[in-house]
Amino acid sequence: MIQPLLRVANLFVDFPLEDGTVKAVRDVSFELNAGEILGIVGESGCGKSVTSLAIMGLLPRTAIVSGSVKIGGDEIIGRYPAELRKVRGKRISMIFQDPMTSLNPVYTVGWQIIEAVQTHQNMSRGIARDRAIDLLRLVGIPNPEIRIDAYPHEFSGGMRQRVVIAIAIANEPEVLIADEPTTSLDVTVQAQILDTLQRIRRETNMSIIFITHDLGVLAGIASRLLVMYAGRVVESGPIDSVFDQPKMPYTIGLLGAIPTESSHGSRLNQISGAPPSLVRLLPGCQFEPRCPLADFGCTSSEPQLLPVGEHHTAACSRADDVAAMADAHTIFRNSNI
Amino acid sequence: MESALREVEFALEIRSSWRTILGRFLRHRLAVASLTVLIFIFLTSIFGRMIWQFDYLERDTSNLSKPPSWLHPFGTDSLGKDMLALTLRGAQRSILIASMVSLLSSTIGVILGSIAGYFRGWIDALLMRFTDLLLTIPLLILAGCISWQFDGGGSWWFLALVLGGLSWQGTARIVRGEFLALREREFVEAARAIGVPTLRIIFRHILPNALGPIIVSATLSIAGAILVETALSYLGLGIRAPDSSLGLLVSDYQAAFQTRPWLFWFPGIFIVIICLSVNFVGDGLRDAFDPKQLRTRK
Repeated sequence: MIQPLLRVANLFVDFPLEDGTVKAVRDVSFELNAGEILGIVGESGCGKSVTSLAIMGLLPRTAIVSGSVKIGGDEIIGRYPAELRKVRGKRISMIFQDPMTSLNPVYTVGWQIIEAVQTHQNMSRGIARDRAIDLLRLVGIPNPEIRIDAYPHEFSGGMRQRVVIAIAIANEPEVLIADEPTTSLDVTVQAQILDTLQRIRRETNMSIIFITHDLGVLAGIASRLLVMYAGRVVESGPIDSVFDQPKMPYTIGLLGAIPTESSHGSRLNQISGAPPSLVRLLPGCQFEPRCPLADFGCTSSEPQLLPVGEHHTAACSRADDVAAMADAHTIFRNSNI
Repeated sequence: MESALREVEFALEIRSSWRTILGRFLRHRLAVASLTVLIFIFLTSIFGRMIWQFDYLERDTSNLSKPPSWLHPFGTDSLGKDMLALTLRGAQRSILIASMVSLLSSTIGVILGSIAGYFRGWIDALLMRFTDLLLTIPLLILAGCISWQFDGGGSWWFLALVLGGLSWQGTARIVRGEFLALREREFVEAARAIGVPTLRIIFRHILPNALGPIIVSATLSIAGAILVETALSYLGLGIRAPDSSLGLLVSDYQAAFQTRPWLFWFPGIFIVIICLSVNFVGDGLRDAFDPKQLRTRK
């Protein structure tokens, strides 16, 4: 069996506040293999970004983290900041959501890429500059020899996100975490950035964790999918399996919210209500108040993540019923007015 | 082909942020005029002594206590010293001290403010309460006592050291505020995500973004330093004879205010002109650095 590149096991993240503890991430476990793209979806505040920051070791000091994050067998959780710094950018790297603010406005893009290279590699400035030009070419920036001396404000949003990617992959990390990298871009630019990420993955064989709240974006690129809700993984599996036979009503709701050819003319799904407060979690399934299939069993205890198919797991006490329903994809349509 | 692409990509003329700031400063006429005056005073106070026929220690015994004339444009005192030479020497000392004070206080303020703003928590609380404590003690009295107590008292560099070491609180607070805002920006997190060490993030990534307010505060602190130095010298706690400073001159010749007003007025006017000019330049810089400033001053 191949050793997975990244293994997250029983990850918990709590933020103690004055009026209670925010349980941002609860018992998240997953594995990432070399060269794989793993998608993590969920709505805002479900713990996607906190999970990725925990993997990067970038959580604020107030956060209480437990569990295990291993990259190539090396544990990340509990390491000293100086040791973590050698891992960040070198073995795991990250792309942030907003390219407008994730570049430093006072330096040229070349300066910022060269810094990323020189932080981890003992390289002369001239060689690092050549490397920076190569990186800009790799991410698809025209005329990299000229553009390397331009400032971030001289680039469009899509071009800036390419620069951000160039910085993130400067040291050929094994794992790249992309935290909603296309959310703030318009749709055509979004497609270009996705193509660029795909191409880079093919050329460098790096693994990508792609975090988004847009399942449609993942459809074309991810091989596996993790659906998160209220800090937990509620469904995970190969993307085709999850897309074709979702077992958790929340996933069904998300899938029904994507506009498709066949949904043309009809109303899109809407999951009414809002996620529960992460300070005061419910005793049962966190999705129960919004779930059209919820019954009495759902309010007593939180369902475990159990296998529902090949490599496919779901946390729903009614997963078997969902599997048996022929019209499972319509459950939200009937419940909405 | 390259140039064609470049043209398409840069439909607008790109102006670097520094050039924009310079442009905005140059439109501020009062600030530009003040800067010219300052540069003129600065240059004459340094090089004027080489050209001017009288030294500030030299006595023209044939012209004692003379009002302004072609030979002595600012007049002479009772010992026959040329007032122009004395005033220039005083201005030179005052500007030198004020620049040192500004440099020193900005450095201390930037270091303490950035550390407090970046790390927050107990480090911030400790540094800022210390700052508050120093703010409650009148600078004039504290600086006067220190320079009176120690042997170095009276030498210009000691005075500059004491004033600089005691007047960084404003800068520290401004820098801390800037850092509190800037540290939350995504580019800081991005820098941490590629493994940039903390000190480098503070001084290479965040600090350049806070440069505008720091430059403004450093400029304005020059005016404050000149006034404090003047006050101290006037009280006899700063520069002492035979060296000269504007404050010392005003103090020495205040008795002559009625009988030989030129002895008092020329150094006095110099103090006012220098301080006003510095303040106007600071104003101009503030407007230039603040993009929210819509009103262009004439």
